[in-house]
Amino acid sequence: MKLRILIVFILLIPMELTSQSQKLGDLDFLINVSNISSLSSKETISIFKNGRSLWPNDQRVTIVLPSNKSLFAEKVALELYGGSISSMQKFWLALVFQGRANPPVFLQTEEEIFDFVSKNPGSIGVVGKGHPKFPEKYRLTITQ
Amino acid sequence: MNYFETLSYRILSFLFLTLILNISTYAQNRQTQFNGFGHIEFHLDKDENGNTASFVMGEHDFFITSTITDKISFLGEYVIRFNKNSPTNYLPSIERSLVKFNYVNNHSIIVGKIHTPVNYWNDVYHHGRVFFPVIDRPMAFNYLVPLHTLGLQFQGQNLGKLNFGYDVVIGNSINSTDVLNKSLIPSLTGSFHIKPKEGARIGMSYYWDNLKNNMAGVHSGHNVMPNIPLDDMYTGPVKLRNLSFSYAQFGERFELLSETVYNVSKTDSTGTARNYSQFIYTGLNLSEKSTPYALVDYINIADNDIHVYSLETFKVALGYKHSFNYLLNIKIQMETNWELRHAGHSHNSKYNGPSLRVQVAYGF
Repeated sequence: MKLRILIVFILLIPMELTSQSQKLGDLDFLINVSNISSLSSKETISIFKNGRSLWPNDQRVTIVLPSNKSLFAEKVALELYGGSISSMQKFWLALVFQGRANPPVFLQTEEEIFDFVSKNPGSIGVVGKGHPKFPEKYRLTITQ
Repeated sequence: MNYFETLSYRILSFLFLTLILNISTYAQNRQTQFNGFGHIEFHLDKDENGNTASFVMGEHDFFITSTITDKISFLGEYVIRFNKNSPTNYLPSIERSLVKFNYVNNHSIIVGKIHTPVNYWNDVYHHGRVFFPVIDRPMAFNYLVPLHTLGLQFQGQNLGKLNFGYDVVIGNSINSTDVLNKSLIPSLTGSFHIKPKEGARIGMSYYWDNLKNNMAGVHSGHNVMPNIPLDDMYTGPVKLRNLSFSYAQFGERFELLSETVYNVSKTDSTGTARNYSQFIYTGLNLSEKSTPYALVDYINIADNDIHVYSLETFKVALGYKHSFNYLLNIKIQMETNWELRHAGHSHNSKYNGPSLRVQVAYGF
């Protein structure tokens, strides 16, 4: 009898699941990993959501994101994480707290992100589209 | 300044600059991060002793992560909480302390003290109240769910299209301390989950533990019911099995968490005791900051259970959470509970409440 109640509880759980569609048109990505210069949008979103811990060359994946004071953080949070800056930061803090991710690096300006990615192999970063000083050497091309 | 003094000064300057550069580069690569979490509560309670109104100092949690190399990282979680038996009224504890070796993409070996990955709540929320969707843990965490294991963990996550994850743990038994397991036989945990969509996670686990001696109030797991005289407590061997099922969906609009536990404790004295619990939380995000919610929490520990002793309690709560940002929220919760059976009390049933709980939870 008790087991039946238990099964009913489980079956009562609604299976409604949410889905999100994201486009990355207003963002530019950069990467410092040998032999990787393009990724699909699906792979890119997955990586920015902790989908990968190591690159194929065994380097640690280091995510580089704009901090909350950054002028383009809102755009990144919306397009990449489908929410606000606060929800993007909560997403990462929760994952790090679970022990399931290394913390990303949050930097304020595009220049700081360019500098960090260029100096740290294994890093992948995102900025607003069309910055005049974008380092083309590290550009990550997003394919469909 | 003579030639040698100038040369020495230049060499020292060079060494100093090199050291500074090395430290900053190392620090950049190492990425050590400190966080803290805490909470303060207000309780307005009504029970058989009358009404009480109390401000309550909650746990304060210090959390450290450090990437030691590309593949090795450290995580530590240290909590200070109120304890009336301490001379200072507070006691520290190591809640998690582990080294993780990420040997291949998304697969790791972990050694240390962990939160036993038996269900969503224990695997995700730990001691950070700012992440909790409600004020308290499910009641099963006091009696049925093994909270901590010190041992070896094999972990995989985000595998395949369904984002499959596994955790297999071999560790000290639930009646052990952090320095001594009382037998050669370890506890075993197998846990699996999938994340089919953003914000959703479905998981199942099985925990196996043969306790050589039943032990009361061990921090790694279960508490014996209050009011059971120490001399009357069962101290013989217990075979403990725990099956858990979790369903979590934290969408943009709707939140749902269901934690189901089916637990068996077997002793030579009273045979097999079958226990279960069910916790359900639902929340509606009116906006990113505003979430009214409801919860029900039921636990039933059989009369013949002498591992933690008999209990049947049903709790209902309505609440509201306001998040100022990801590091600060306030929860206001009205709750009532019905204690239908309790090994330490002789009454048939007891109604407690309604009680008001207010919690300010923060991270720093």
